[in-house]
Amino acid sequence: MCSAETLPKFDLGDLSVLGSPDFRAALDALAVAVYTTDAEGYITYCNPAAASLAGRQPEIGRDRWCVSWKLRHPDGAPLRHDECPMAMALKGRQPIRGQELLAVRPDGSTALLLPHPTPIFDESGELTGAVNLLVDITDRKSAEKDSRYLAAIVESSDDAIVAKDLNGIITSWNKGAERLFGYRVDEVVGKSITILMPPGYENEEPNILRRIRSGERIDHYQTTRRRKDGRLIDISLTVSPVRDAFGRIIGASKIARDITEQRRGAAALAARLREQAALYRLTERLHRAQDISEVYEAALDAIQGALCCHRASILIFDNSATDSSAKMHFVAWRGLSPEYRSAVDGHSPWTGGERDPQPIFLQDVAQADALAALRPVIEAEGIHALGFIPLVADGRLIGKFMTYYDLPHAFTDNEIDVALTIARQLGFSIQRMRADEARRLAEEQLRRNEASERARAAELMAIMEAVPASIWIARTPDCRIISGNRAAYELLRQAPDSNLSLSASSDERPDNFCVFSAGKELSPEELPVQRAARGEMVPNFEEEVRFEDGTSRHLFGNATPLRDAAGQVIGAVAASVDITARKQAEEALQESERRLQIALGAGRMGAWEWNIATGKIIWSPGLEALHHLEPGTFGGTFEDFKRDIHPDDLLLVELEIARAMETREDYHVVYRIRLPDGRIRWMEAFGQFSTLGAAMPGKLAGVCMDITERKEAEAQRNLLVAELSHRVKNTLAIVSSIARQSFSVSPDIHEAHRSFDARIRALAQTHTRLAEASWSGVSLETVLLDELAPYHDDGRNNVTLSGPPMMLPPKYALTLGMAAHELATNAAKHGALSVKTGGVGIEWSVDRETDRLHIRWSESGGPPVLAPKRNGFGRLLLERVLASDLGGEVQLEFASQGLVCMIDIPYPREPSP
Amino acid sequence: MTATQPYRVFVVEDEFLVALQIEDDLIAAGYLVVGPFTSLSTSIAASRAESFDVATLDLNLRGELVYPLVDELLERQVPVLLLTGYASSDLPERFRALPRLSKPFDGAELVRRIRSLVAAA
Repeated sequence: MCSAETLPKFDLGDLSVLGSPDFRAALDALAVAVYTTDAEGYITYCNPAAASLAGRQPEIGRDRWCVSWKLRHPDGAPLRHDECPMAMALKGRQPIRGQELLAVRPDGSTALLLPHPTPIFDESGELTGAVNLLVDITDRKSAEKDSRYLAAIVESSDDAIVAKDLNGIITSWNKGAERLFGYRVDEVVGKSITILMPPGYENEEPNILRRIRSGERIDHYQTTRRRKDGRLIDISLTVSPVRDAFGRIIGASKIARDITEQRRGAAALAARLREQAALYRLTERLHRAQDISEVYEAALDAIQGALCCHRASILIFDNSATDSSAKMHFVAWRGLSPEYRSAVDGHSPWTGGERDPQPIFLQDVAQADALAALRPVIEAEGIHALGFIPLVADGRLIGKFMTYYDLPHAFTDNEIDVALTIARQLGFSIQRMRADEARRLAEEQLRRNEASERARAAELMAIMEAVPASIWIARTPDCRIISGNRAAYELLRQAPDSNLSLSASSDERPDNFCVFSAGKELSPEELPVQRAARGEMVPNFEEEVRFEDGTSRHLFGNATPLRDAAGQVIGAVAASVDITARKQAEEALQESERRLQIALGAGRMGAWEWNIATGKIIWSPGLEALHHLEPGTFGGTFEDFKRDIHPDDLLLVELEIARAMETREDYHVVYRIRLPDGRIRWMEAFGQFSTLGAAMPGKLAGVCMDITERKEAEAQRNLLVAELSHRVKNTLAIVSSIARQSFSVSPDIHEAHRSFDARIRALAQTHTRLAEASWSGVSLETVLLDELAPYHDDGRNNVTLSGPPMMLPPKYALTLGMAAHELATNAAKHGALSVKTGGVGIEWSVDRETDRLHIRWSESGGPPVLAPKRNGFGRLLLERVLASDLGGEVQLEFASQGLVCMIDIPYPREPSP
Repeated sequence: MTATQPYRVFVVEDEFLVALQIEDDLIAAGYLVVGPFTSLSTSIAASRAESFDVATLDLNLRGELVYPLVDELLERQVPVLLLTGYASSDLPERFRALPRLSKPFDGAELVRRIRSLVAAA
């Protein structure tokens, strides 16, 4: 590249030199574009360099101002030839400098030019023309632009771009480098690049510099550098030599890129590939495994390979038991000492058969509290992290595999996924192996069994034919064909090998019998063998086969479904014995028993029998019922019999038995028994001896009756008699007392008689009322009216009663009746009822709170009232009898308008006899 | 007990009119009457509080039988005369031998029985 300043200086002052041939040759040879014009601007000369630059040969004397085809301003705007710098220089008679323009060539290409138009004057100062020197600045311009552009790129690049000299001293440092390494530009320019080297990498820089000096470019060199904050980063370096204009190497430019993430990604990818490879190998090996130990080995390889642990183990529950006491034991392991294995064997975080057990990862044994007592053992083994991964088959925990790490280890989600994948595969394989093993054993067993089965089948056949029981066999669930053994054919009176099925087609079906059960004819589907063929166990069936000739056989047996190995019902077998004879005997016995039971039951009686020789006592169900025992639960010994007898009566019973045995007379005793619930019942027993022979003690048999109701009725009657006697005598005692009082108080014997008679009548009246109501009670109103009725006036207006209905028990009725009698006779004799104008009002009420009955007797309209001079029997009776017999209070007021008597007694809540 | 001091008779009888007659008869014969008491509970309480030489007891006090009191008095060795309408066969075994006066009774007979009981004691 050349610049104007480098042009050789020469004097253009005399244009005439251009005319001289040597000068012209010199201009023609010049690499600089030069042309000349006359004073009018017409081209007079153009050297080859100018023609080359213009891309055309100008027409001398015709082209004006410029040799170029077309001109533009540097910004691209058109520039007229007569306005170009050369034209302006001529017109302005001044050289013009520094105005750039674009020359457009006929082929469309452009050149950026810096013209140097210079007018030429002669000696007289007359303008004679101009010379223009065109400097092509196209290249220089674009290099400047490139340089600025590159600088911007460098500055804004995300990559760190660093320049250094051959001594490793940093000369430039972009924003990317600041970001990547953390140092600002002013902190590092002038310093050695080795500040970025982490320990251990110090030898790298001399190496890089050596290679750079030898002109080598270092591409994508991956290494580690240290940031200002000390953090290590993985970077990819591209280092290129920097040369000066002469091609000498003067330094190096480095482009560094952070590849930490990239590197991590690559490591992860490698791990994934390793895991996938391990899992793939595991799948393949499990598939090919012939026995369980191969399964374990393949699993351990996969665990080690995919989970990067040096040690691993597999533990399985000691049996297929699902109970929580089952223990896990080591079945395969890598890198574990015998001591360790024996110490932790049997330990498990889950119990046997646990559903949905979750894996457990202990990333630091030192921090894991769950390990408790096992921690020292684990630490002694040099294990610092553990993984427990459950093995599940058929949804049940069957074991686990363990991963062990020498250092604390954070388990990533990915590792957990891989562990679970291995566990799943291992679980499936163990399950498959177990199933295979079970099948193999079963097959072997089957083979072993088959031979003996055949032998046993033949034996069974012989037995079947020989047994005196009838056997039917249906070999299809629909029971269209039923065969039997010889006894069966004989029983049913059918030819051997005929079809015994009542469900068979009409030409095959036997038609000489029907089957009944409990008196009802059975349809073919209800037959025990057919029920069994539908899957039902029919134990202890009883049926009656009735033949067309009127005879019948009773059968007792069992029917069982026949099932294939899968449990599917494929037929049935029924076996029965002929119980006709027993049945008939039983029926006869039951009939007589039933008749006896009816007889006994009707009389609340039971029968008993005592075998004196054996001591055995038999009670009929009726007797057990009388003793409130469940049928058949009587113990059957003399002690059992005595247990229920009332202790007070036991001696009596024993004496009676002894007497009967001694005298051989009939036994008869009445005694009490105590029922299980504690109640007492009266029993009456009769018995007779029957001798079996002269020397034999024989039997005592008889009946026993529950006579409790009779006894109670007797007791009730006795009680009533006693009560009646007591009442009558009591009443007589009262009458005697009334007589004494009536006669001793009144001086007038006739008057005394009248009073006594009236009092006894009143007492008898109340007795009559009570007797009418069976001594349940009498109403207060009745008692009062009975005493007052004799004194009613015609309109019955002189006596008023008001109060709620009130039933009085006998004692109340008698006592209140006597009181009313005394009040009424007094009123009639001296009080309100002695005159027509007088009247008596009686009101009563019950105070529910205090349960007391208040009765108010008030007289009015009678003669003036005087307090009596002495207390007569009437008053004594009123005041003291009520108080004493009924616990009541009586107040007598001799008010001027009439006598008022207030009686206040406890209210008789319940009438009681 | 001296002759100058009257004997005390404990009377249990729920029929007031009968009690009245017993009272009259005993007082006329020179005895001192403690009572009469008309219910089992009051008579038991009184028998423990009062002092007396002999007791006449009605057996049926409004449906309550006086047996617990009889037992208690027998234990205290107090002479007892039963006054009742019941026959001896209606009585519990242990009371059948006790002196008994059947209702209705004659006042003179009552006094005579009391006198013999007091004399025996």
